[in-house]
Amino acid sequence: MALSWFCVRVLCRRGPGRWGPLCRVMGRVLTSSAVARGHCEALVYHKHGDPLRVIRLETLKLPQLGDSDIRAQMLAAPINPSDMNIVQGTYPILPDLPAIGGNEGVGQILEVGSKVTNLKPGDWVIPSDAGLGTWRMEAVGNMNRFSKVSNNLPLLCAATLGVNTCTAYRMLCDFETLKPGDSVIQNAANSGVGQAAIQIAKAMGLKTINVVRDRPNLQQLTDSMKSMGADYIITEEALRKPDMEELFKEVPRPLLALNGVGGKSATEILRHLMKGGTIVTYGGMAKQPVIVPVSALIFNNVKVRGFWMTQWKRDHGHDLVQEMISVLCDFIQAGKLRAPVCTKVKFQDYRTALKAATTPFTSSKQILIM
Amino acid sequence: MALSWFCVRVLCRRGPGRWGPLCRVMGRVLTSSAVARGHCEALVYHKHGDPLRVIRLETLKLPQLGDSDIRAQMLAAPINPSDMNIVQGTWRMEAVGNMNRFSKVSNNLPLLCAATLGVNTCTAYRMLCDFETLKPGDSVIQNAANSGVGQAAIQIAKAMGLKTINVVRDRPNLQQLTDSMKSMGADYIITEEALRKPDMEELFKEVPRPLLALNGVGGKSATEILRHLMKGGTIVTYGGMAKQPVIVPVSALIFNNVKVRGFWMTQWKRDHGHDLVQEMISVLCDFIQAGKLRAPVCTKVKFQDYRTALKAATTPFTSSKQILIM
Repeated sequence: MALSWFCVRVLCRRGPGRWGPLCRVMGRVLTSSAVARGHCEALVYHKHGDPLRVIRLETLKLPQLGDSDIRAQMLAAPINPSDMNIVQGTYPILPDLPAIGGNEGVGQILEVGSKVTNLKPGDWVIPSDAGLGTWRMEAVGNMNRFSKVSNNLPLLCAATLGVNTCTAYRMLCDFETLKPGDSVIQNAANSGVGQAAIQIAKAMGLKTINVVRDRPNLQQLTDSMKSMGADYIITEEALRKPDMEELFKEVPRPLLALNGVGGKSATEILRHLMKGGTIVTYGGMAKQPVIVPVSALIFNNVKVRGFWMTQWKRDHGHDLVQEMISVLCDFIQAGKLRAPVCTKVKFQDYRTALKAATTPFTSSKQILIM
Repeated sequence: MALSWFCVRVLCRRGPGRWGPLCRVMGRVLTSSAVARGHCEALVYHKHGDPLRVIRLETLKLPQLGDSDIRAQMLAAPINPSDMNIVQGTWRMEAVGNMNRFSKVSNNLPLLCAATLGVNTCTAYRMLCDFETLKPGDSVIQNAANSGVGQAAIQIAKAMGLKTINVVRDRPNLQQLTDSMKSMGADYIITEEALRKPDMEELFKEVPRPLLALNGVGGKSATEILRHLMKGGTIVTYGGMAKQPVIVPVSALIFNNVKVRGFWMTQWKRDHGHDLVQEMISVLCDFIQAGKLRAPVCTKVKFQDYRTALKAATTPFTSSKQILIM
């Protein structure tokens, strides 16, 4: 099966014998595709390496639907840096090969097994754990491998919920007790996690100090981030200047720093932490370690921690994962959380998306649309 | 006043008209010194810089004894790296608030134990207690294992039933150092070089991976000890002898859930107050009196020969804590 776009032009009577355009209705409908029943297309790799080389579009046979299984049509799945690292083989935890790429995404349930009571056809689901492989047209799996999300969410919000948005939420909640008026500093502030952090922090009444790399279209990026609720946007260069002290006359020093970069960028954001504050590392885009001055540890009592969403999910179990997702769905439905800046790419054009995902300064999350 | 050493040879009668040596009694007695009453000698510095240049022996006037004051004759004081850093101007030292400035220690402790109790021994104790819940059989890894803190950590860990993996720099007299540390209760002594070798995996077939790492060095040494931590373990930094930051691989933080913390004894004392400080010191006195904790390897230097001590304290591989004896 495939989800095919349809477009209907609705006409209305404009006069005797005259019909004119009223509106257009666009949507998607399941159509039979070239793929045989019980099979689906997926992005598969049989060995690790450069994603553009090792990933191939293949037709896979789906397993039979068991009593506790669901069958879902994937709707959308992002390409995240960790997804690429897994394909490249540089991620410490790797799936067995051959594997399907992608850990984040949203699907719509088509069919459920006889023992499945909490989910029904039409529900939207996201994977509860890593390893499912979301870059695929359909998935069949045990119901406990999926968490339900509201099916009236904007598609791109649902697609980016399970990894990036959850990571931002957990880091804001689990490391420091933050109260309205407190501030948070983060680098890679325009990343998927960063954009979610800006919005969730705002919903929590926190101020955000957002560090990004300088670029020619910085103003455009700044405007976009301010519209999400970012309080301060500063470049990596400005972070290192004495002018930062002026900023801290307006906002308190941050209790929490979110690090997705590593290297000097991490050192610079932790330098500004309030005494006893925490820097949490969730990514390492610069491929450099976190460099912590001894004085920060001894005299400023800085705490250096890491966060891994996959581990949190495994440690907390399906119910607590579902609870977190429901909280985030509420945020989205209340208009407090919208999707990051995205570029939608048709599933079959995956090579375009993979290429863009590895191009620096793309500044837009590539989302495969099935 | 000064404490002067005396030595009395005690003789006993060995026969008619014959006296022979029985024993020697050595001790110290207060004698009047060249320093005027109400004054004392001290090692003072008027500006920050190289300790050998800026520190001078001066005679200071002591304040009058107030109703809540004590007057003490200093007996012994070590020269610690942080002391040198404070003189150099590279260590933070804020003004102390108005609180009781002295804690009691048993006066029958070995002098060198008492002299090295308040900073090094306390630091080792707190790091072993406050960061991870350790139970007998657990292991701890540390670098600078032959430092003042390191030697205290070896012994306190042993008293707590923990195994210690002790990392030291290689040196010509490594065997002598190894023997000395083993006599203190060290379980494993390995060089910085050996720490980086795959053979470490063999060691972890004998002992569990450490839950706690104590770092007094920084740089690559810190990275290497934290690499071996059990998942969720903590590396605590109390010093930076290599004058390099702690370099933490992102994978250790994200996938191994390593926690990176620091510890400053001065801050702990300020946060916990006089009573809790006294409580800790009493616990450590008990350890000492029970024979579970002895002083680190020390070199005693007369107060007036302070320049010798300062020089030795900044000479690499001295491997002996310089103690000024007053």
